Amino acid sequence: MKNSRRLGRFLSNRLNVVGLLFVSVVVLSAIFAPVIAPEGPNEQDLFNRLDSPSAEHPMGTDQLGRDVLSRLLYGARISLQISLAVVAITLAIGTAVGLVAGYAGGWVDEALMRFVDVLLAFPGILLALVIAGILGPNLTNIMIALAVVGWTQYARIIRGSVLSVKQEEFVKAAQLMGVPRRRIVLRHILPNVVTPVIVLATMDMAYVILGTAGLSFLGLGAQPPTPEWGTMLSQGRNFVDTAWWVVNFPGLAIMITVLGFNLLGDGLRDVLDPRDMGDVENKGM
Amino acid sequence: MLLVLVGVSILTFLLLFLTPGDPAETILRQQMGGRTPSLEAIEQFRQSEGLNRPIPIQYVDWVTDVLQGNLRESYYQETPVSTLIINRIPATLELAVAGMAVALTIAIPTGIISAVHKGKAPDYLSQFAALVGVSMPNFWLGYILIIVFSLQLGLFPVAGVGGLESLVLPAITLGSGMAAIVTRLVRSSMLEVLDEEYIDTARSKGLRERIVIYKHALRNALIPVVTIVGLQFGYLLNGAVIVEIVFQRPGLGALLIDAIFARDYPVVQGLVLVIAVIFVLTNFAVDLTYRYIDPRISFGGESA
Amino acid sequence: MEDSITRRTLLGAVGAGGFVSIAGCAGDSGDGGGNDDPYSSETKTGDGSSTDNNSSSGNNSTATGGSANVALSMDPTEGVWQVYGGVSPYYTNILEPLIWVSEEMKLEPWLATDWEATSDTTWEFTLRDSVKFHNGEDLVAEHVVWSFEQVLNEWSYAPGWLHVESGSVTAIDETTVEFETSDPFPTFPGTIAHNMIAIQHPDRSRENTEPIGTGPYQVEQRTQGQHVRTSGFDDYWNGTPSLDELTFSVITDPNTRALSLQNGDVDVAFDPPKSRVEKLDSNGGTNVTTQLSPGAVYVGCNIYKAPMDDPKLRQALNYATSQSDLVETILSNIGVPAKGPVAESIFWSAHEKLPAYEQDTEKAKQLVEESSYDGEALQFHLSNQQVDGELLAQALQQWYDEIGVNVDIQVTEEASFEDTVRSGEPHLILESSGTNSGAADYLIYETFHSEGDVNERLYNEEGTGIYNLGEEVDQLIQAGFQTGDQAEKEQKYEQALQRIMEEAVVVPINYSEYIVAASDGVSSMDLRPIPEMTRWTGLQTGQ
Repeated sequence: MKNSRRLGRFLSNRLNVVGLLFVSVVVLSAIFAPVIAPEGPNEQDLFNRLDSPSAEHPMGTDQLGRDVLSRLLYGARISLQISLAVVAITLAIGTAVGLVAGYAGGWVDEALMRFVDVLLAFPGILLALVIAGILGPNLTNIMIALAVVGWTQYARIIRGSVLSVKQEEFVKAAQLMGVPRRRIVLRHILPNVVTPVIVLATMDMAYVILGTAGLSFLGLGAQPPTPEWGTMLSQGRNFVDTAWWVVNFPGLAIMITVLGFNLLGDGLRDVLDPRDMGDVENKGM
Repeated sequence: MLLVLVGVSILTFLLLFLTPGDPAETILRQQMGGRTPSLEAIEQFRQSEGLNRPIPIQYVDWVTDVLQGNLRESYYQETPVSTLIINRIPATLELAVAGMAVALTIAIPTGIISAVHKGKAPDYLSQFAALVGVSMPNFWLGYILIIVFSLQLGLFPVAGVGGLESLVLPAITLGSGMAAIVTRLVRSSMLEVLDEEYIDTARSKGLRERIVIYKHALRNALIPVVTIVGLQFGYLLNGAVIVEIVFQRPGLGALLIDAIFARDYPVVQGLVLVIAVIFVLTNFAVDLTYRYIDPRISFGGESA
Repeated sequence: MEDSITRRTLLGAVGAGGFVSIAGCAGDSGDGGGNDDPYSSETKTGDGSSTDNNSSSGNNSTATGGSANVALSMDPTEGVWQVYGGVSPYYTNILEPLIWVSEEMKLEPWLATDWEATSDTTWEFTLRDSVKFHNGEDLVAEHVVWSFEQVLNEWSYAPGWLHVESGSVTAIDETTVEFETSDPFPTFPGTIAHNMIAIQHPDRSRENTEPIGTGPYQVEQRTQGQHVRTSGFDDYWNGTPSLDELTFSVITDPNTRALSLQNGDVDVAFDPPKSRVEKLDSNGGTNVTTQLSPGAVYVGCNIYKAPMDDPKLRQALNYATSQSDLVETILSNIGVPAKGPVAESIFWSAHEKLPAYEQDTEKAKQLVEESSYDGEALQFHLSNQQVDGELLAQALQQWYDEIGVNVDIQVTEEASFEDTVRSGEPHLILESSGTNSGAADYLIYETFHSEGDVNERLYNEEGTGIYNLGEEVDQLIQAGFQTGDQAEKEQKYEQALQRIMEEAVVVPINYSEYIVAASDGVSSMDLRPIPEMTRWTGLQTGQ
């Protein structure tokens, strides 16, 4: 059927395969971390700190003598957990707001969209800092901070799509036939806006991982000793040319994951929707 | 538009007052070189800065001042917030423009190569290359650039402002993060234009005309790119925060972070307002450009 | 890790340059103990003349010229110091206070050659002769009065801090100034031995913002948020500045600061990250100096928050900790393993006399068993500004875990951190103490006295506090604080600190050293325990 053709088209692009591969590596690391990891992520050995890579520690040890590879493997769990959670939250809020605004129109739309404008015009970093400040910096609150900053684009895209779908004949027909609003939204409108949202969500996985790293750099990362990649990278930044393994392996881990999700997102867009995302985005604005 | 600014300023006010960390205590501690200030000193500071009054009244006072063109003074310095911001704008503007230039320099050739060779190796390679930049946390990229280009090759100073050479590394750090988005735009925009019929016609007519048309195609393809790029300026500030810290550039991003951590409320409030104004104005400008370029575009009655 | 740092190499060189002890302390050099009384009301100090040449350049009439760039973590153009025209008196030497602080944390006659208490609440300061301001005028008593008035009027906390009200500073004659304190305040001279209490010329009006001071370097140009460029002041009263031009730049990120030095963009970098120290020292071209500061790092136990109210648990945490392991590993041998909360460099730190808790995991486990601890996770708070704080906290967390005590680490940004600490919420707090002035008394008073700033709020509101053991220790601290007699001060504070350590109110970690990295050519940097008081007069760049 259509789906298998799509899969074929997806796999025919080598970049998509690379993306899939990168993401799979990360997902598998996360799942099998306890099996693969040579040590626990928080096992310290103060007198073997900053050991360079060896058979025992393939990626060396960090500032507290912990095995960098083990921390990275466990860290994959955290990175995926954060990005999945953030994307889920933003998706939920964004979809709800976008649908309501787009479908209801009028002052509801106006009010919601003005609120979105306010958030967009607001330095995201301040919002994240304040939330981390109020709630205390930890994983959950990083997720909340990034989600609060992130949902607006979904709302815009979905609203834009709803507006254009609303004009379609079949929706008008359904309306005339007296189909309840909720049903129109769920049955007719939602399926039509799913594609851009899936693509955006995939790319957002990447954005969230980078955002977490940025917050860690500003001192608002995960609480120690959580083996979160952004925190590892940020804490290791002083070692960039002295104990390169402490900083560059976490950096590479982040890069591969982000690259993977980006490639995947690009691929999905090509396959799911031949039109370009740019179009969709423009409608949203 | 005004509504957005009002919303932003109210939100800033609310957020600041929800934030833990007493400005009086934080600022006095800083001024006293790390000592814990006494309760009397804290009380006095609150009195003199009007921090004891109800938040709505503080807000109204502030708005009244702002409407009279007064962004108030920093808690730390007698310098007016507006002066602080104006002093910091050049460094950030310079960085944003240079970053954007880097992004375009990377994106336009890669995007074109990618579109022209769609589905072939050059396409894959250039897309991949463009994505690498955006996939690196920018502070990591910054430090790597410093190690390689400053320390090992001795080409650029590590930090600071002044002269083109101190702008190169920060601009690459900031610009490479944007290159992927712009490449994507150039590519899709080119593809769309190349699909148009007149291109096909041109193709059938032979090489010389094809070159002409490519030029034509490129021009058409770049219009949406440029407008979107313009819109990205607002977002550059988020990236600028970290780049400015790594490269010690005294710009708006660094000012915002310092002010937030130092609980210098007047600076935060003033700066957020200015950022919002910039954002709203760019949005507005982009809207106008759109309408001008393509009158068919309908915005569904919306304007930013 | 092996220690490849050439410790105090530069300091040694400076020492040879000839610091002449102030008269009152000439007899006992050494680690700050003894009967010298730099803080005392009976201080008879200084003979007030040319023998005070402190820096090596004092005797060095051949100015070498050249220039240097010093990278600081703080912004030298920060307008916190707007009283000084937007140039920080910290580090820059542009402005000078009446009293400086020596290598041994002693009071060093500076713009004042002599001071004495003429009653319980009055102090008379004699000014140095023929000190010239950057504008060529001579320093007279009126300038001192004006400068104090600036400070007292500008900062709401200044009168409380200095125990001096506006209007109680008077010029007796051209060279004598009298201060009247609002209550008996024996540590007054030490308290004003502080960069912030700098003397400047009144011509520095708000419109004409360049500060006019008496220091070896005068302001040429300042670029906000970036640097202050200064030039040597030929008529400096204490030797000829060796450089034509000295620039102070702000580079807040420690890594960037160190990299800038490695790249040759700057000549001196304060506080590079410890992880770079080895590299900076072994690299051709740069070297590293460390200097003991009056600071200390320790874990404070909130003794009013269960289960930390149980001394057995607190002692257990002490027995679980190995200070020397922490210093040797995480701190790269920078700093000294501590036995108490007050830096060894302060003469009443009681370092020698405090009970030692050698690491003894078995004993610690046993104490935990006997204590009221029931397995709950202790909240361990620290600021993200605390250098190496996260590493220290995690090492402690692992040790505490081994003795069966669960610890949750909470790193927060500085402002929130201070808020949380004063609220009494955390069980454990990573504290970092230090002083920027010649008076260290407040280190013990504000932290361990019930009415000290740390405990005051909770003590007044709920009768509790955080680190205050109560009546007995309060009285000891009070007695030490009020006395002018150094021996008595030492004795009282030592007793208080002994009680504090017996009760294990804190888990000491280390006495701090700070790090200065410099290009190889740089010499004669005159470092002081208070880094902000580094002297630059004799600095050479060897170019």
